[in-house]
Amino acid sequence: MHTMQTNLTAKTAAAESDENFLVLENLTKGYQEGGKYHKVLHDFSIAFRRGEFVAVLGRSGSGKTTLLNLISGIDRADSGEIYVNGIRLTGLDDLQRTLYRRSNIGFIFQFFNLIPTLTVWENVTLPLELTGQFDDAGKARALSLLEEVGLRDRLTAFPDRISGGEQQRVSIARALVHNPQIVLADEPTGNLDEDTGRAVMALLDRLTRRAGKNLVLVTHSPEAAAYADRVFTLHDGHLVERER
Amino acid sequence: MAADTPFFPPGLRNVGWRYVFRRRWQTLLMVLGIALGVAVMVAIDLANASASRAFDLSTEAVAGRATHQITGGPQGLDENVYIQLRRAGILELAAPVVAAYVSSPQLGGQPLQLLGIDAFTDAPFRPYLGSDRAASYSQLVQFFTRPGSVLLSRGLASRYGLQLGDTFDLEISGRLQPVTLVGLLDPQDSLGQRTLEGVILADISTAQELTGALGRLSWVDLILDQDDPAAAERIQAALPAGARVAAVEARSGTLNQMTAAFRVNLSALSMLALVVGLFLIYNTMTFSVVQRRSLFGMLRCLGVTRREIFLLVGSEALIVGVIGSLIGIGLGVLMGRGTVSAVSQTINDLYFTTTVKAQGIPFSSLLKGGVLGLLATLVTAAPPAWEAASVPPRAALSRSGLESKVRRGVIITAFGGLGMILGGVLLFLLPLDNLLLGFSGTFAVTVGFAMLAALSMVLLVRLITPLSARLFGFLGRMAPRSLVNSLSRTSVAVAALMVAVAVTVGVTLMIDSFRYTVNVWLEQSLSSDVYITAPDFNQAQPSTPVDPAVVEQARAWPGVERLDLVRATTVDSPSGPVKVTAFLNSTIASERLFREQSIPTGEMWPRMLEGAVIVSESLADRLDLSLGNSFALYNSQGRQDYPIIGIFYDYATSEGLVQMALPRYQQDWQDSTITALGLRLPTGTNPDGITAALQDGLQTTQRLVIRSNAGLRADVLEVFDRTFAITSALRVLATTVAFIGVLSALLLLQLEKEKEIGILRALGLTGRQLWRLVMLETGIMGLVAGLLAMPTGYALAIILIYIINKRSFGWTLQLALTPEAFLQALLIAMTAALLAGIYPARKMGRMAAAAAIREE
Repeated sequence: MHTMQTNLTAKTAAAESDENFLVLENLTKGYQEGGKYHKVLHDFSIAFRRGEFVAVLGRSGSGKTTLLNLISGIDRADSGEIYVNGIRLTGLDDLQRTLYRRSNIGFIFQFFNLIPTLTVWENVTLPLELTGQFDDAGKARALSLLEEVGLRDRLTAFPDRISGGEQQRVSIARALVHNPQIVLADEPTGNLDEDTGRAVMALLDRLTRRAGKNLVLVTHSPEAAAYADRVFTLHDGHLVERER
Repeated sequence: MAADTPFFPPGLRNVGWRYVFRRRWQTLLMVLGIALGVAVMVAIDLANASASRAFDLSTEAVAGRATHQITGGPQGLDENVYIQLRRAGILELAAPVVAAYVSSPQLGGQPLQLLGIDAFTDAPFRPYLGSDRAASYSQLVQFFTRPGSVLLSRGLASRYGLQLGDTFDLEISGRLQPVTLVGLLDPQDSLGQRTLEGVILADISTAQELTGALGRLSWVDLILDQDDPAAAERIQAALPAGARVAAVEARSGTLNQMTAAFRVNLSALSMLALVVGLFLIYNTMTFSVVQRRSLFGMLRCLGVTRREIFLLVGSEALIVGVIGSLIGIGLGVLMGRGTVSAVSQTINDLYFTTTVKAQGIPFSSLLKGGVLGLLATLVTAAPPAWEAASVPPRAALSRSGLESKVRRGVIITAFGGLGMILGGVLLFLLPLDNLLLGFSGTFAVTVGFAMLAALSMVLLVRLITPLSARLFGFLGRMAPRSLVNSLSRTSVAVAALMVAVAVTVGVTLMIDSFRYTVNVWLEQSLSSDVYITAPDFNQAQPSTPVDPAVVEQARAWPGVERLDLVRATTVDSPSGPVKVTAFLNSTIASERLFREQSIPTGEMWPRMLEGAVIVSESLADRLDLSLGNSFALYNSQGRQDYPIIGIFYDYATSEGLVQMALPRYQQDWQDSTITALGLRLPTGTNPDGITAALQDGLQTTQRLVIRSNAGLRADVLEVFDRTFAITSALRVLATTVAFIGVLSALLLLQLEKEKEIGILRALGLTGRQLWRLVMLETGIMGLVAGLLAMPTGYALAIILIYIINKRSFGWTLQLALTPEAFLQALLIAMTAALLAGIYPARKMGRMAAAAAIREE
């Protein structure tokens, strides 16, 4: 089907070391609001190691979600470069970025964003179908993930029949099932009560670490950020690492 | 990445298809839109195919394999001409025929073709008669020797329970004549069976006796060598003056061509119903896409490509299109039963008598309807699918962003609309008299007006707001503002409704104008008080001879002030057969509405007595005739030119006719037959009394049709109403689709605003205020759609009347503006709009505010 090489597990000759798995270089991004240009991210550079769990704290409107959109290729930077495992993301066109995202990114949203017309099983296996991995191995992986998130017995339920915590657990399984290298979580506990939020974070931490994935978590919650290896604060368009 | 990603992953298919099945009501409306459109198309196509095949079969039954025919004018051909040519060896393959349209009370009263043939020469012409199972030897002996012996097809006889040896009556020129069934024709092939369904076969001498045409032939069929173009000329040279040889195709081709225009007109009108249905689909599809913007955005986040989103929405349209088309085909077949007989009747009224009812449902009609329905759905769904594919990941473009984008596009869309209208008008101005081009122009103008809907809505709402604010307070300000703020939804809905309603306005105005024109025409052209004709299948222009004894009795009838005589017939011309009506009526010119005339009306009759003629506008336009020209006709002396002194409006036939003075006709064609009598009574005499007295007192064996002026006018109007019966049915269908369209568009719009309404409820909006708000919003949309439909419908009517009708029938109609048509438009739009408000208002009124504003 798609011949473009975007799978990050197959390193290119130009691939950097694990130290520089995800590199953001002189990144700048802003939006036009009415007649005024509002800069959200200011010319900052940073590198993440392979398998690292980083959390980004920041106030509403500080640019956290914009950062995730740039890493996932949903949005394009005004200037600067993004390299993922040596691939220059900023040089890809819309279709190439979509295919990159399909294989390499797992998304977890604040409002779960499950597809209402698909069952739990169909929601989880959708990324497998999109990436052509809907084979026995893929199905086994999906079942095992659903087992781990505790929803093995709810395979045929539709999203509106399960609780918010359960929906978020389904979305975690969906984010990991196709074995992406990077998982992006946008306020995953923002719509859950404290206990459920804690359980979801523990699950996310356990599953991504065990699979050796990079997890980029943006959140308001210092408690959720506490799970991360490194914590950054997004302030005035700059990413500042917090001392721990 | 894996190289074997499926073209369209089943998971995505589920996303789309389940949406279709979950939103049952929304889907049902789309299915209904397609089904109705396809049904109308299939029904009309079945009727057209049936009419076309009936024409072919009727021609096949009569002409068989003949390539040419020798004809002899209105009174036929002297049989001695045939005998002499045979003896002289000039004719090789030739068969004499005596034919007449007859009916029989025992055979359902339908038109049947009495065909008198010479069995010894006929076999090469009508091979279906020569089947070895046709008739036994003893039957043939009776056929030749026993007077009044006829053969029928086995199918026809058994359908009416007739057995061999049974006697039944044939009504020929208003007289009942007994005949005996001596044999059954049983062709093995289905073509032969169908062809014979409308034929009564008799020996040629029997047919001459039955029709009273002793010594005359209707024509002589010939099979001429195609490689010898001079063969026809050699025969023509041997023929006496007044007899002509002509190719069969040339004789039947003109009629077929004329009915083709009529059929194209019907097909195109049926497509209008589909277009209305398509606007319904477009509206619903666009709505479903707009509703799911966040879902598509999220799918894009998961790595679903634009192409896949396009396919997803396209596959939804495919399901709906397939289901809708299948239902439409079934519905079309059912409706076809009505349309087939209506179209056949119209063709009988306006063009020619068909004796064969084509049976069966041609697969091609079903396929055509299905494929067109499906294609139309997919094409209509393409823009919304493209819109869905353009949704950025995570729907980064907010709803307010979308609305401001739409508002910015309003002016551009309006300019696009003006461009479309201009393009449509340019198509009309092209010097080509093409019906399809006319319909393409109509489509362009309609879409152009639809594209003006958004701008018109913004402007109209601005106008309405002060009034609604005054009447309804803050709700009166809120409702119009909300409509303009959600222009992405409301403008599409209003455009769809407007088109649907405008089509009904346009067609209504066309039918009203048609009736008005015919009424004026009848007023002018029917001047006698009582009319006498013989029964005829063509009621608009009866050409069956009236018993001469009746003419004499009518002339001497007490109280008759003046007697006008008419001979209606068909004569040959270099352009093929032409209808001619000859009058003995010195005031004929003042009873016609002239489009053009070369001399004053008062001077016309003397000129007509000298040989001048007047022609109808449809004939003049069809054959490119103009004042000052002459029109050539073949009379009993051969070809003669008749100067044209007037072109008049006439709505009796679509092919047109020539009118001349009866004395001149009788002199030129040696024909004293009379086909209609017009009796003028002194002022103040009650025509009904004389009509009744004539019905009782005329001494004749012929059944006559005696009608007062009012009676005849009613009969003629009935024929015209029948002509437009299908158009009226189409109008009802378009109105139904329009009504459903209004209802669905507004219903969906309100349901989508559930959350907004929930917030208002949470903020303290009372249940009563909620009702008012919803009704105000739907009411304003209905009003805007209804108001916009008026100018659009008017434009459509102008196009239908002055361009489409003129090209289809050749008739100029006078535009009659009836306020009812416009009021009806407003009524449909407003009623549907208010009805559409009831359900959402009830539903939302009951819903707890908390439930409505819940995020997930």
